[in-house]
Amino acid sequence: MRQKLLIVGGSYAASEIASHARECGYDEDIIIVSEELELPYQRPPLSKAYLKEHTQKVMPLKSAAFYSAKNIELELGTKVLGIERGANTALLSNGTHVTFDTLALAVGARAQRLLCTGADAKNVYYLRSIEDARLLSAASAGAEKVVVIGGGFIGLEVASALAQQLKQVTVVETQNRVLARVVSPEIAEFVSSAHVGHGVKLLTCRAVQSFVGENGVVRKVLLDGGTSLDADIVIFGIGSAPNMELAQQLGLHFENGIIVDSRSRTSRANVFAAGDCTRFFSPFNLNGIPVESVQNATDQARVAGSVIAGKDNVYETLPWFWSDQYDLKLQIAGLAVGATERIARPTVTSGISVFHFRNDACICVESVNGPREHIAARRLLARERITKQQLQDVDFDMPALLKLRALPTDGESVNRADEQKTKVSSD
Amino acid sequence: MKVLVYDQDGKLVELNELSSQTLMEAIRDAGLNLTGQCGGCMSCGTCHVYIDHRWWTELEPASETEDAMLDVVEDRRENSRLSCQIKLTEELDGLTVTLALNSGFV
Ligand SMILES: Cc1cc2nc3c(=O)[nH]c(=O)nc-3n(C[C@H](O)[C@H](O)[C@H](O)COP(=O)(O)OP(=O)(O)OC[C@H]3O[C@@H](n4cnc5c(N)ncnc54)[C@H](O)[C@@H]3O)c2cc1C
Ligand code: FES
Repeated sequence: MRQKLLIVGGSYAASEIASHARECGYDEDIIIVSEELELPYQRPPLSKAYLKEHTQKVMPLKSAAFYSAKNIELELGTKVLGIERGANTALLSNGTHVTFDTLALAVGARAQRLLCTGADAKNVYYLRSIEDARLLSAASAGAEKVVVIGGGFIGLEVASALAQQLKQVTVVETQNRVLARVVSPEIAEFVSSAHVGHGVKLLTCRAVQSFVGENGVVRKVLLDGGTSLDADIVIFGIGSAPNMELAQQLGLHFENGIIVDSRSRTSRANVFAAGDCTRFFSPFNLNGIPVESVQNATDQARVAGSVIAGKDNVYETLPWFWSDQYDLKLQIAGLAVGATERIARPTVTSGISVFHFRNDACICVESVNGPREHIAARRLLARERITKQQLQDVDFDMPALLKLRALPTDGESVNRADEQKTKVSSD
Repeated sequence: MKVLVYDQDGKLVELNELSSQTLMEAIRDAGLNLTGQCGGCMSCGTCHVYIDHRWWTELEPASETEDAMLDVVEDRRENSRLSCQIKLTEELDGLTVTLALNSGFV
């Protein structure tokens, strides 16, 4: 009898588990069940180009023809409601059951919601899916005064997109600066100036107390300390929370994400997980912090796909991330968690790079408008220990260091680098 | 329109009836080994291809950002481009490219 791989979720991780399992020779049945109506699509543009251009166009990760050519069945617009432990059977929202041999959870995360008076009003928006983006895009077209709650990546990207359409945008952030959890103060400062330059009001150290309105529509946002902000629309960008319901039903080990090992295996046999719904430790993530990025969802899913296909593989890839706001290109190579020291330098293209060190080793490079610095940093950090001294010797010029090292052909992962080395020596 | 792609093993693959907007998407949709991780927003540098010299002058030149990234990708050559920055138009019917070794997941 044929076996079946059931993949729950319909985004980067789901699509990549399926396609990579096939690439690695898995030829049992594969079915992807996704709550969303669209083929797996690109999420980052939702808070960027999509809002700016009101394009209403989704960009699929892969075409429908790709999935059918690879014999990957897609059940869209269908939610997995529950999984019967022991019976290996999933109950779908369309009333049918799917029995599987191997299960992969690629259920991702959802936008964090705020519970306070008036937060369920009609003109309060969240941004996670294309559906959310369509609603927000339509609403923002007619809005003048926009209040964004949360100065993280999504909040600031939305602020940037809307400020460029000459809306009056105010960002409310509880921390004492924007992007407090995710980038260094120097980068945050650089980004803040761009926002202020575009007329965005940034209110830090401020929290929302309540919403005032009528007929289920918010008109004013009240902050602690008594400030009142007029609002035509309110957008929340206060982080995300992993979708844990199925993991809970299955009794998987989870803690702010499904805990997986370097082979994307959960605490139960034949149950894998990848992407935003997971948490893991790796040489590049010693603290096991949640990593929510396209890079992570894709690369971790590939490992899951290959292990499912019976090909051993471990996930030890340098994390990287990007964000676009105005004409700023923010790119991060590595994770700065656990850094003991940092050094900021301007880039040749009027941007800034910040180098983070842990015990003398460079573990993360953040740059704004330094695409050259970013790619060079990614190639170097992925494969070897770069010391502060080495960087000082080249006056913190990462591309110069890259050229100096005259590395063998590149890869994004340590594994790949090693592989390349053995290739070179066996030639 | 069609595009001709030499993959990392030197095998020639013909892409026909393209509906994709960019070269990167067309290559990825065909299931070839091209990462294109950032989806075409010029952030990742993992969609590196070499353009057949006959086609080089037909393309819009690379932007400053693209050029900066190409400067540090592995094995840049004179005919290197990021495939996500190449919009497929009728004039490019028959475009011929080669995937760079580092453009695909290994
Ligand atoms: C607006 C926005 C902008 C972003 N910008 C960037 C960026 O610039 N760079 C970057 O690196 N990252 C960015 N990210 C993060 C990135 O999009 C995520 O890390 C990535 O989408 C994670 O992929 P995933 O497959 O793990 O999960 P998700 O994308 O969260 O997908 C999970 C999928 O599973 C489905 N699902 C969940 N439960 C069920 C169920 N029970 N049954 C059926 N289906 C289910 C969901 O509907 C969804 O389709 C952004 C995210 C957002 C929301
Ligand atoms: S797809 Fe990322 S730079 Fe081309």
